Amino acid sequence: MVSWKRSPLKPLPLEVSLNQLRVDLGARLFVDPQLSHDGSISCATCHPLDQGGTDHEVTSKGLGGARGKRNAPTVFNAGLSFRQFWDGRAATLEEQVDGPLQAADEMGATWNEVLDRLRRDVTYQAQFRTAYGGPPEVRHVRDALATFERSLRTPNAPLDRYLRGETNALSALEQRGYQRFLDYGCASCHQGVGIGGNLFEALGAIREFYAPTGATNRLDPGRFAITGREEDRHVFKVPSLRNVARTAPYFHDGSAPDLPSAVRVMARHQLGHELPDEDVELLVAFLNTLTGEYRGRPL
Amino acid sequence: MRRFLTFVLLAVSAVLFGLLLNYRSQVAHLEAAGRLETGLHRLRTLDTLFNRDVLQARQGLLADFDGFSAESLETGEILAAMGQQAEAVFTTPQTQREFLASQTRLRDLLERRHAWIEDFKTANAVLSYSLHYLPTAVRQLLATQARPSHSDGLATRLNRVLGEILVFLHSSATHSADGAEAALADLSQWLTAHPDARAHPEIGAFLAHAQGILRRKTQVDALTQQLLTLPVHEALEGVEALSSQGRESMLAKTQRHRSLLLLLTVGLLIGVVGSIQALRRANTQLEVRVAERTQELERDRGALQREIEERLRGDRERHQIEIQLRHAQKLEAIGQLAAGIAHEINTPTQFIGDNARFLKDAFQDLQPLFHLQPRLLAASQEGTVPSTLATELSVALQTADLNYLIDEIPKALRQSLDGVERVSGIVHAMKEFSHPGSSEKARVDLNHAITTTLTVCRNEWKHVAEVVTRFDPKLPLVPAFASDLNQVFLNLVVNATHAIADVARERRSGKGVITLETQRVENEVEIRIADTGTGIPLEHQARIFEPFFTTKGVGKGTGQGLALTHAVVVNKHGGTIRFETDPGRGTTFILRLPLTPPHENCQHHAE
Repeated sequence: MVSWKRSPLKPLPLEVSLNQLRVDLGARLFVDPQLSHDGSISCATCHPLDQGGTDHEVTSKGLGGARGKRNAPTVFNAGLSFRQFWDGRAATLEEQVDGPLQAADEMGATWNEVLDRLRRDVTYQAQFRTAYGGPPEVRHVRDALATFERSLRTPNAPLDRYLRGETNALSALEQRGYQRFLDYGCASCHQGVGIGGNLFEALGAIREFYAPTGATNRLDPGRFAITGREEDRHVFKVPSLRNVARTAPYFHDGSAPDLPSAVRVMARHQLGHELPDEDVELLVAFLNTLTGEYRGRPL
Repeated sequence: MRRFLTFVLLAVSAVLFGLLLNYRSQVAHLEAAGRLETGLHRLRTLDTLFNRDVLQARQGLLADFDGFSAESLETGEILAAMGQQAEAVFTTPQTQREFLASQTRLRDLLERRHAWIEDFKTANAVLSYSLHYLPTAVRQLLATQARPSHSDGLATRLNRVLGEILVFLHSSATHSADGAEAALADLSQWLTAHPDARAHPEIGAFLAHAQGILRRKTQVDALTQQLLTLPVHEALEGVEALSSQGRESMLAKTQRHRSLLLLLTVGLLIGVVGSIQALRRANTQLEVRVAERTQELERDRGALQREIEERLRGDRERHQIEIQLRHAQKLEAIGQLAAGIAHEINTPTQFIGDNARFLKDAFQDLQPLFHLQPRLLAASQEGTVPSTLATELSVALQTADLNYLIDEIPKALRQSLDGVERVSGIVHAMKEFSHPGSSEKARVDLNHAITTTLTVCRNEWKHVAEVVTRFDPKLPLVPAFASDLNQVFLNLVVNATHAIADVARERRSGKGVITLETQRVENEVEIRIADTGTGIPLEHQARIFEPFFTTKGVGKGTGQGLALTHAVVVNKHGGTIRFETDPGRGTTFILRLPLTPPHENCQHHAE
């Protein structure tokens, strides 16, 4: 049997052990618009779970119809990422909560107003007491949401089954696609159990992503905005490719509408290479094997 | 009554004092010390794992980077919990401050390391995908050349760049990039003379990746150096020293409190005896608690002791891992063969043991005979052998089964000597094989080197193939890097074994044959390694020396064996390697190494 121990891609474990009371509380908070300033937007507005965990917008519509700055990534498997946000500015899911909740163009709320609302609600009071032994607190809200998000895992993608030794889980075509994925070195960055989401990389390593003629309003400094180091300019977190077929559009700016164009853009800017059509087809076939199951059903 | 009240007052204050002492010898504090100790121990393990992962990543042996995130996450959690534990362990503000200062030093170092590792991961990933991409680029470049007349000159140069880059990547940090840069310069020069080839869109990408690799490798080496020399280990030792001081002084204090508590109890017992029932009950309770506490203390001391022992053992293991890591690259092959070698050594050891036991039994059987000898001698000197003695002798001869022993004992001895020779042969071969080798070429006996390699990997091939060697006994010594060539022979023999095993699986046939020949051909030495395996299919023939090209199933072979073999033979030794293959019948690899490499002559002239 082919062992996955030395493969750069790892199967997603089938089980995850979490405190169910906190998962349930987090699930309720996740879909509750009371977490936004005017009560119009919940986490699920931009990360609907029945649509792959993302709204499929180029950038999401927030409070009062304002547009966000970057594409909303899927919330599925977000817990596998080594850091949160495209620029990795939050170390954990708990830390991440503050971002969208307080951002003016997203949910635009303050912790005080959110806590006020939660504390007035007797059902929340009871739920927080059983899950945390006390009234709603900011750290408990963060923890509940993060715990719920950690439960959003999608095991059993065809590739997972293939990696576990089910050799017919991938068709011959898909296996060739996998081989291309390895041959082109894609797995050097999109690696590990998340098939990405465990390192930073410059977008446009060989050919610049932002051509000199490109629209300047699209210029995104990436991690440079956090660290101020020149070598971090246009550096982003390598996104996870799990469920990628269900999370269009692609990249931090949502500029690629579908997988074939995303694959071509990657090859052009990271490798300096124009992919032949055949390779695009094979790679897309492989990417389609990364769709897993949530609660026993394909995402 | 007044006396009674004084008594009660005294008793109450004594009990309160006792309770205070009781509180201060709380087991909770000991538990905190235990947790602190466990945390520090775990930090050491994580530090070792981290260093291992860095080295493996540098060698391209680490499949993914998930481990780094897990390690830094756990490290952060342990450090965060330490503050509270320290409060319980360190009783004076002074010691607490000292501890927290040393813990902060450690945390700062780990945070710096955490930031560096991100750069390390990023640079390593680029290195890795550039290395994957280069062969693809070469393939496409050559396939789409406008003018086929160019393709030879271009192919030679592109492949030279590839080979030099591979050698450079597998070399140590001090190795210069001269070879690779020279190959790149040569390519650029050729391209200037051939503008139509230069115009190919892939050329720019190829050059960008190749130059990128040289730059990144230097960066990765520097980062590796930075990461591994950061004094995390020393900082950890500092924290540990303070922690154990704290624990010791806490234990001593607890001990003092406990003694006081005992004294107090005795005092109370004497003072209160017979006066007040209630106090007596409290006292009994206290006594029980003291006993309990004493027991718990003993238990906890035991646990701490065990933990300290475990940690010491951990240190020793860690030290061993570090030593192993330093030899990781050279020893990787040996490591993979280790199980096989252990088996190889085990078999002779076993039959040597069996034989020794047999000899012991045989000697016992012979003993009655030996005892009869002097009596027989005496009787024969006297001239008459009594019939009883003769009977005794014939019985003894029968019991000992002398004929059998005369046959078997020399056999057992011979076999044992063979076994001993085999074991020492294997050990000797292993030592030679894994010898780090010098930085300059030495004169190498290739027949001997091949024999060594065959011995080392015997367990890989012995169930699959017969090995036939046809060595030229007059083969001259070849100027070479012995350990690199050992690696080459190993790769080729192991590949041959796999090819034969594939045939055996498909056709359910028996063993195949691997033939190794050496001979001198003019001013070169030729080594032929032939197998009766699957052969190389036509569509793969052009690609087998490419890095990362493998047919061993997705995720199984690394595809670096033959590429490295090629680089060692061609680039490092100025030799040639080619193969003849008959798909379905077998492959022969033909290596030629020059007896006087051209650049060595130049050096002579220069001197």
